[in-house]
Amino acid sequence: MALGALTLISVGCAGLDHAGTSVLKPKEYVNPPAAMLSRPGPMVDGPGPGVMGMVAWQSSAAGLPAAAQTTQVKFTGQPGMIIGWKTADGWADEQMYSGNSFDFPQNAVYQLKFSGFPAEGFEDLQLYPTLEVRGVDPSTREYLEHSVVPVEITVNDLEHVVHNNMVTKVIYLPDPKHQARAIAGVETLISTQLDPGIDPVQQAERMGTIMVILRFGNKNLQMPTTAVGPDGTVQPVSHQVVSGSGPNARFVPPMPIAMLPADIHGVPGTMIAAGGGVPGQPIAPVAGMGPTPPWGMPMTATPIGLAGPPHLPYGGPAGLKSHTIRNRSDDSIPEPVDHLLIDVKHRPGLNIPEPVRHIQYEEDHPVHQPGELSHPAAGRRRS
Amino acid sequence: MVERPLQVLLLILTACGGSAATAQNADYYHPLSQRTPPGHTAAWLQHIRGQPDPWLQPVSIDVAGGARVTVYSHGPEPVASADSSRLFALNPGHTYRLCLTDMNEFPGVELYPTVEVLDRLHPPPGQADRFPVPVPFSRTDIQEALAGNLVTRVIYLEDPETAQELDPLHRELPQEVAPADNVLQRADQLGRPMIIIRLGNRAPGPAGTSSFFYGTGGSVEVRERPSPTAAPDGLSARTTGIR
Repeated sequence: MALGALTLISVGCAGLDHAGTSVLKPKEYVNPPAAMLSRPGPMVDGPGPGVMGMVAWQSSAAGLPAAAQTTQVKFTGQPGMIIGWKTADGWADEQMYSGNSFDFPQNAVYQLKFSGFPAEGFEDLQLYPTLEVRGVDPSTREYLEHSVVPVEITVNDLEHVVHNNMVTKVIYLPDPKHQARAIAGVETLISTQLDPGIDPVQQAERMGTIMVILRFGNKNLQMPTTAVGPDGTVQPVSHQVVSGSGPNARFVPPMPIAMLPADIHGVPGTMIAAGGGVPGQPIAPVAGMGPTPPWGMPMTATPIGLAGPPHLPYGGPAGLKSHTIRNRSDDSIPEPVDHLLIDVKHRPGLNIPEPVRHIQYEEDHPVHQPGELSHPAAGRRRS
Repeated sequence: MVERPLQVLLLILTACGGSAATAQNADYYHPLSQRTPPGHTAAWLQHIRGQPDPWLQPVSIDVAGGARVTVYSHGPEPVASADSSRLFALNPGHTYRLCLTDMNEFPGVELYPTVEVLDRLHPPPGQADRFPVPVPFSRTDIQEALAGNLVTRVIYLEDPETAQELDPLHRELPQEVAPADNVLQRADQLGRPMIIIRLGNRAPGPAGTSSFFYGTGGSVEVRERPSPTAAPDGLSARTTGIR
């Protein structure tokens, strides 16, 4: 993370020298901020007209119901480790122990809490990893419906974390060409065991299909904080915590802290422009509706001291007559593409034989002379 | 009528190498494979056959050392439960979830494999229970599943002529399969695929599981195994395993 932030800062400063003139080389490109890159915009990730037909694999083919949309995850490696998670109202401690399994709904990110490590020197350590549970894929469906995805926490991982390193574990199902045996088993890529600069997520996507990603560092998400009360006194703020043990034990399911774009009929969620890929159907991800953040809504500050947009009266008569913001940036933004050509080539391509056009059927029947007939054993008379 | 013992061969996905070239060089296109989502192959075959087949195909669930077998069909309520020494009759075209418990060689272990019934046998009238399709769970399979691996078996009814060429002495052939092989296609070359078995270590979660986890709604009957002495002349069953 530190390296990534440093890179962004250096890029941001590269535009100006001490004299205020540009030091960019001719035709050198400058990326938009990461937040803008993550949302390509209208007509790409929605809203926009539906242009994608139902061309992909369908889970409901032949009348079958949709598959189970949960991934069963089992934490191993630290016997007795206590696992909790973030809920809608706060935190739920001691919801399960290492060695047990839990069905996490897919296409979501969960905030977990690990504590009670049995390893010497880590007894008081508390970790707050995130668990990213990817959606089912045709290549992983068979495995996910029959097997548990193991996530192992080792002493080596804990040592990395206490020494301020971040650990990323990617559990994936290798493609058949990368499997050593015909029996399907998962593989795990760990960021601390890879060469510098190699992203375990990208590496796993090259080797197979990712099912679960666990990321953890040493950040404490339940730090004691304070708040100023109405009377000016400083009061400690406590987190609402539910425990899975004790006289008031309760089980509270985890609440996702983020949702991943869900694939529909095999089409990646970020590519779906209309509901179900069918033109004319309701568009599910409408910007500004439900959990989808608004797109294009101005949030600039106004001279009247309120957040924008400036044309809203905020309960009183509109008095603002003019509010001008001039963008004097020397931007170079190209025109939108009006005709896009994408060449796609698979190697090997589909090679399906011609359908049957002619069937010629012949039968040869044995012909026996009288007295040459043979009788089935079951039909012979016995003496 | 030609007297020929009914032979059922097992194709087991446990090794690599060997037959890869044979399967890959097949000169016809096979759209289905063992990696087709569970339930789809049986549903396709049923769709091709047209009307749902009311036939209940007897299967013999053979667990190493014996076990209690519970059968789920369309929800968390089991539809049948019996010792593995009994026969279970299942609907072709449907997928079932089993629960194996009380395994003598694996005490305390619960496993939830699926059985996808693709096709049926055509035994002599009144003799169906004498020719069950074997659904084996070997000691190695169970150990692999407990280690977190997914074991897939395709069981097929062998083509008598091909079987004579491949196994004239009726030995137990070592069947090797490469990871990228289409095992369903390989089974189709050797005979008629009957059942796909998938065994992993996932169990229903405490927070509930979707109904599809338990199957596609086929019927189940538990039957007694017929006495071996009841076989008419000229009829005998033999099961051969190939690894």
